[in-house]
Amino acid sequence: MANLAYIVVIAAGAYTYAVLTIGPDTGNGGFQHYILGYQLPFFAAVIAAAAVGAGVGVLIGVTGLKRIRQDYQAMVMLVISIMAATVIGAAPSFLGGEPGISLVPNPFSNLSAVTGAWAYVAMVAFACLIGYLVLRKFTGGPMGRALRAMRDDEHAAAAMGFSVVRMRLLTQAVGGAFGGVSGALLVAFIGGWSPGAWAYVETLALLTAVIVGGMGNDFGVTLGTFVIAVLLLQGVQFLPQIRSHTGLTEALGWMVLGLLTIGFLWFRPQGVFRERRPKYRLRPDPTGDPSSGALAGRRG
Amino acid sequence: MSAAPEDAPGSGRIAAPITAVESTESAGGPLLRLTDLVRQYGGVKAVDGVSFEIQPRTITGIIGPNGAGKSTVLTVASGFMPPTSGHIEFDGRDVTGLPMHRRARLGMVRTFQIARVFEGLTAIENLMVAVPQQRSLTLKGLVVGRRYWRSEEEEIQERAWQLMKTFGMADKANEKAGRLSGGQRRAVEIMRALMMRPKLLLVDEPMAGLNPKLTRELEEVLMTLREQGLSVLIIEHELDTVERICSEVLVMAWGKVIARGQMAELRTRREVQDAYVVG
Repeated sequence: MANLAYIVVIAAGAYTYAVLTIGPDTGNGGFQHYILGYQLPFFAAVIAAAAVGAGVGVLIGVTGLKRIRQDYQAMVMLVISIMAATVIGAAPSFLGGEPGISLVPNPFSNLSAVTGAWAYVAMVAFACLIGYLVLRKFTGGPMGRALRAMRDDEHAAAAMGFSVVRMRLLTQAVGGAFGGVSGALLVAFIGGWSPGAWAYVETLALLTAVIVGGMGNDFGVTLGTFVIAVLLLQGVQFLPQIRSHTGLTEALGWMVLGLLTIGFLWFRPQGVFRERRPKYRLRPDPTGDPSSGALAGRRG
Repeated sequence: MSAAPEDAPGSGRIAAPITAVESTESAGGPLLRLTDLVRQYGGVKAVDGVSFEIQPRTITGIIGPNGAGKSTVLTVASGFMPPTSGHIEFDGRDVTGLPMHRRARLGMVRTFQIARVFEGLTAIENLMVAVPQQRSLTLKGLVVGRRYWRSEEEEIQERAWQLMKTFGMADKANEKAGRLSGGQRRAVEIMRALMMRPKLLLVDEPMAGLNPKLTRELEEVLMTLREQGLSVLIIEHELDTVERICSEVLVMAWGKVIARGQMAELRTRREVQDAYVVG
């Protein structure tokens, strides 16, 4: 099932990182208000963001446990996403309200702007690599097989002895932890976070990345994320602005995104890189009895 | 659903013995016991006070007109839906409140009236996934990785190949299940259930859409499995099949069991004929 509230776990991670590193809200003249306000080291805050992301992910997953049709579940997710942003925006002393939290510290603030930015790029690239390797444990091998089976047919999976509840919450927790870390890394770089940064449409951008790249194909999804989320949505700000229509280039980015979603769902629903499954081979038995062959699996 | 005669899991080898069944060790008692089972949908009692027992190593058939409540009995027995009232005992244990996946792990495995395969997986993967408590799915398996679960995975693969060969589908092993024909999907579903080494197989019209040759082969498989210790509860419209394989037959109509016995004898009973004509 598509989790249309995924941006909420990213937001949870970002807020967690912010309030755990920024220091008390009496600083800077007390112009913003938020809870906690600790000054934890970078990595401690990122780990906390992962934990909070996992917890929020599980909470969101619980709402999907009710046996309702999957299209209704998608609506529930979307509503959760909108509600969360509205609630946070309406509570000014909880997480900064509508204006949000700014001046979130960057771990490389002691370096020069350019060096610090590149150091950050290197760190995020490393985090992506580690994340990819960890995720492979869930998407590949027998675990990936079981999760894909559950995706294809939950009832049949339950008939095969799988606890659908447990596996769903596991995926929500893992996905939530990844989202939490990504939110923390994002907010530590951009320095500020507010409900406007995590509107529900952001989830749709991520979903487009998955659809275009190829659902169920790790490489495809990675590439889709890079092309859609990075080049298309962030890249447009480097295009020349049309003076008479400020914001038009950003809007064009979103329009292209929408067209891509529709276009792929119509003409290539499997995405650029289709889901691939390992091929298994029946190796003939040396004794010559083909019915008791030794077996070898081969990745296809 | 219909399957063209050539779309086969059929190569004549289906009757070869299958190793994948555990013998049942329930101390003399029945394997499954349903007591006063009731299932209501709104105001309608789809199942209205059904009680029966299934002994180990037997094939029990349920027949009856459409809407008699046959599939509901199977659905409730498997845990897919809770009963409105009544009790279900499996292998000497009350399983009334257990969810379907827990019953499956105890050895009560169902198939669906319309075959449900995992379409994104290949045929052989559909079989290999059907071992829910495999090492690779544990936390230790995730952390330690392949060397913790490799040998078990190879054993699972070997069993899957044996079933694929027995059902004459080895050449379809790497085909995505979503691309298989109706008959092949049904075969995959039954093989998948057998991968779990069930004690009791609950099957809902497994012969529907199979050609006569394939039907006979599947009958052979079920009877072979029974000799190896499996029990089967089968809903079937094809009365000749029921007569050939079932040691006991329950006739259902209007949510109740109206007759039970051997098929040959039941055919002559008045109330059975009435149920089919009226129902």
